[in-house]
Amino acid sequence: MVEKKDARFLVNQILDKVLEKGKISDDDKKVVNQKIEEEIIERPFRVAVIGQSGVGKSTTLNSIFGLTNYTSNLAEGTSEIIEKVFPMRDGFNLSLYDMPGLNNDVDKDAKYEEMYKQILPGCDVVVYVVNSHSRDFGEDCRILKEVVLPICNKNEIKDNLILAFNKIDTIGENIDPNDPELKWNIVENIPTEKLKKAIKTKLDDITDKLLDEDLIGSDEGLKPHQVVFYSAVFNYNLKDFLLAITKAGKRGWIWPATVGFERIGKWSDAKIG
Amino acid sequence: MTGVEQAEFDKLNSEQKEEYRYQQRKHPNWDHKKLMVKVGFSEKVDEIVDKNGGDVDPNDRDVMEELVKGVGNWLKRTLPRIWNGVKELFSNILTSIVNGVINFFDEILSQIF
Repeated sequence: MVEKKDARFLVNQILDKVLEKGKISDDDKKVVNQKIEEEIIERPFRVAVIGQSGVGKSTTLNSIFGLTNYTSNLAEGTSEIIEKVFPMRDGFNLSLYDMPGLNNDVDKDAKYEEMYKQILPGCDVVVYVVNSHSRDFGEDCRILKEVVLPICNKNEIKDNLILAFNKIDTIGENIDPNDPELKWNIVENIPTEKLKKAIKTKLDDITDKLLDEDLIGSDEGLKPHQVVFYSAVFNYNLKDFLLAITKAGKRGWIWPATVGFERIGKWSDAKIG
Repeated sequence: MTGVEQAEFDKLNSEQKEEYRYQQRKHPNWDHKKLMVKVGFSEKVDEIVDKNGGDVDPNDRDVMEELVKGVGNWLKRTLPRIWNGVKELFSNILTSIVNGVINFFDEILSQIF
């Protein structure tokens, strides 16, 4: 008989029903419950978020992982990245590594790169956040190609990586900050018609660049689902983000199978960061 | 185009074929794989701007499918003997999700079993 405490998460419910229907013995049910307990309770869900200051790491973490009022305030020249553990529900923990982006500073970048090498291999999901409205994300492409992807490939965790283009809501404001037609329609939480065209053009440029740089569409690059476009502030297109997490590596499914659906996209009103 | 590539191209609908040819003219250095990825992204971008934001639907079929796959793969890796006893059930759940028979996890848990 399965104890009630083992049926608290969605994954437990699915397994309980499947094992019951499959006429699996009580002893084997206990083994499965023990193993799933080890998988989701004894080991936190580890996420690393990499990004330059201002790309929206905090809002991303608040929206996607429901970290109420989390603020990313990495000190300049941070030399140590501390694992921050957030209790989610019923013993399931989210472990977060908030990491600075490389920034063309030889000394700091070497230090940060070393941190990436140490930390990324132990993470279930690695999110590299980019500003969608950046005029040129060539430097991000270089960092991904020369630093992040090689680390991921070497440690066989490329499937854990998500390239997250945040702030699609502000693409219009960077074209003409005085044009109200290029601002987000806050009332309906959708882009205006003019902004839709601007977003399409920008995302088209971004995907062209990613293809030209072999970051997607090549054996060395990412799979299409690993690239997501969203607005953390407005909870826009978080479904693609959740799907990318769910598909990530061997343990991405744990997030929606535990508290993901309850947490994602619920906290963006806080607009932290 | 190789035979396999031609077969992939033939499976595209007319709009996708048009987009493929447009991108081929625009990026003559791109191979078939890149052109196919670009066609997929062009559709994805259209979807992104045309849908509303808001909270993620907990009954989303794509996420459900990947979640069930993840649980199944975990069981297969961790306890292969037990997996062998239930793999057909997992397969049935996935088929039901993909075919749209199941819309909600509650239904997975109540109707299928």
